[in-house]
Amino acid sequence: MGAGSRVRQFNHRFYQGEPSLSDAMESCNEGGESIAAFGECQISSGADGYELVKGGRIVGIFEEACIESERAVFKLSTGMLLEVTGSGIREIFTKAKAGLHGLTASDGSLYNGPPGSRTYRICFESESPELTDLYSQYFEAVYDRQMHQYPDRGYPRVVVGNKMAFYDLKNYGAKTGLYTWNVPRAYLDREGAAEWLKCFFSGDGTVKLVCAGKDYDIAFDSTCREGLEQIQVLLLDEFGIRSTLKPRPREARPGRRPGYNLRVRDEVEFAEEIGSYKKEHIERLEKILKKKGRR
Amino acid sequence: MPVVWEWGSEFYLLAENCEKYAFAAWRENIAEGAILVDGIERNEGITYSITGYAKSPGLTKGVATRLLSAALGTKIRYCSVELAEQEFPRQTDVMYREEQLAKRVELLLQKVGSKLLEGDESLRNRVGQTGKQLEVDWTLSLTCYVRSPETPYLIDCEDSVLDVVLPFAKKLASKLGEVIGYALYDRVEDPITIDVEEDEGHIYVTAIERSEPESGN
Amino acid sequence: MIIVRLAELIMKPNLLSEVSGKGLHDHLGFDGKIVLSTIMPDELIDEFQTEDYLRLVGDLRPDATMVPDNYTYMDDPLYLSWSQTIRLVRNALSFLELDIPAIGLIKGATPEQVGWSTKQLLEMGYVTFALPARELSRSELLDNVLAPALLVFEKCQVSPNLMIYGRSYPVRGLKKASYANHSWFLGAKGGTYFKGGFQYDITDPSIRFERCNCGSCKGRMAQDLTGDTQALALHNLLGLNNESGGSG
Repeated sequence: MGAGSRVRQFNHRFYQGEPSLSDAMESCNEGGESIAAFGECQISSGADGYELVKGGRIVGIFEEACIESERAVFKLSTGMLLEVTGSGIREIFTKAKAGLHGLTASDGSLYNGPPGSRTYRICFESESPELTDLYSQYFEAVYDRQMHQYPDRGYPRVVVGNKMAFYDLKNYGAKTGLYTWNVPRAYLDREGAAEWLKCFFSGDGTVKLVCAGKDYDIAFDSTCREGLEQIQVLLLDEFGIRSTLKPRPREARPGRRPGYNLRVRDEVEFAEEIGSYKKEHIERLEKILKKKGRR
Repeated sequence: MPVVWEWGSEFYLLAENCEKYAFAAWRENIAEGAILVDGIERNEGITYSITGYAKSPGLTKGVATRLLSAALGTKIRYCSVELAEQEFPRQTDVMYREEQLAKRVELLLQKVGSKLLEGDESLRNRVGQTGKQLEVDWTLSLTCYVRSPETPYLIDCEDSVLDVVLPFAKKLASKLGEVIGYALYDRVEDPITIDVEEDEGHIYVTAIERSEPESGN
Repeated sequence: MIIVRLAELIMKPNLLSEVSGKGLHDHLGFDGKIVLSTIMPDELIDEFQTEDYLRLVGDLRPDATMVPDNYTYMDDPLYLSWSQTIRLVRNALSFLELDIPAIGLIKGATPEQVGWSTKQLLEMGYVTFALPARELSRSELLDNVLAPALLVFEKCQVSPNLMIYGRSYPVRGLKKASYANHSWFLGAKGGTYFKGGFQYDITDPSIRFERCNCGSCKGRMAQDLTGDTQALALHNLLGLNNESGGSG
């Protein structure tokens, strides 16, 4: 530590200017007007912004804050927020970052090659142009960088090479291996969870209107069983939506990997709470809601 | 089962990587290579794979290119290449014509339903007491055999509704050659119920083979 | 030889207390050489005095240790960076009391600071130096620190052992140095394959079907290591070792 530029290192370590949550912070003796308190944390507003104090020590001073009845949320950078509740402090994703993560987990890829050859490449492609547009939009909102459009064999595709964004998405588990990803549960509040699910479903979800014996079927498909299990838990814990995970039986051809299907059992609740960005899904989900008299 | 290409890589690499791998791994004792493309048709959630065969490494690129062309428009998850010292088995004892499939599916679902009722007392009681019709959701595995001048192709598709999976298999086949027949995986060993729902007139049961692990809530 | 970061122990007091009781070798069950790295975040540097470091080294019993770290930023007032530089030299003097080898640090916000502190350490008898290179490499400032140090070595007609710390790829033009980093392991966890001094995604078509005959791969293709983090990490480490001339 401790070489080069102090400003640059501070930016790199502490989210581009926001203070760290290290305990080695000076004690707080004075402050502005106290506007909220959650557990051990107090929030006051002053000339410099919003001051967050915990246990008598300043945690940070923030330009932007949103104070709600059960929590306060401070804006950090690269799509992160600091959430303060009675239970404590944690970092969570913004809606855009949650969506970006979900889309990356479904149809995105993170690739790194030697210098000069697609280094730190983030790529998203889909059969649906509305999803690549959304990905681009979210990427710009989170990382303040534009992606480039490079359609490939008729598939809309957006690509960018950016080391910081590459490692940020990778470290949060958007792609942990060739076919594996994690749901970033620890960084999702309810809004973030809904957005993550909506975006992942838009990529790797299906809404069928013709299925065995029933009128419709909503499901997630993936070769990553652990990821689908995490989705199953998230759907139930956060939204009370039940689901059933089953393997996809398939012919044992040489070279074929197992796949899994997570079928949603509370379809109406899913259509209302989660939904999708994919055009075909939206039309079919509307039909489901109409059938159930919810439209 | 070496995967040589994944979703997210440029499409031109699919055939190139197949060829590179084949030339790198092909030994004198290798008789044949099987090139497989696996994916999912996302509007209806039909999973599929298409397998083509090559007798020498130089032929793999052509086969892979044709597989890619057939699969475009779906999400192609990956492509793998397998090499073997003998020809891969690709014939089946029983091959059906298209018009026979509906009946075969009906018989298969009846078999599944019977085995479920035999093995599940609570389900049996429920059906008996309510008089409701038992509807079984069982994933069908349909194989379509395609003949072409270069090599035969096997198209495997999975879905629980024949009227959905069959048109899709035919669409893939139309880009590769002539369909010579179909096979339906109809072995049912020990099915178990993993999901049950009811409405006024039906009991809907989702079933899988006991040997396939699942988890639900 | 392995390097253990003192910062990791300091940030986990329970672990520190456990290791201090046994010593590093017994705690890790490792018979080879253990070097203690004192490179740590700035806020930790400020918390410790020389006596604290000496006590910690005594408790942990490594085979060698770096002298205490400091922070010298080029955009800080010169007074600050000079204070830190002088502090580094003072600590280096105190560390000569230890009965294990001490490794000097090459640091400084200006060429003068780098040159002066390096010369002081040479005159004290230091024969091994570590240059914390991660931040400097990222900012493309490594030459600003390395060049003055090499100049001092040349003027004093010495060629001490030089460890480039926190960088995996060789420094161009630097003939004799060893490289200390764990990019080989972190890379393996992320599916990165090292070859010829470069890092590739394991699915990169230019390398994925190439066979490697290193002690880890034993003829396997690169992509055959997918999912085998241990084998990939060992392959990367062996590759780094080769690239650095066997001195990594």
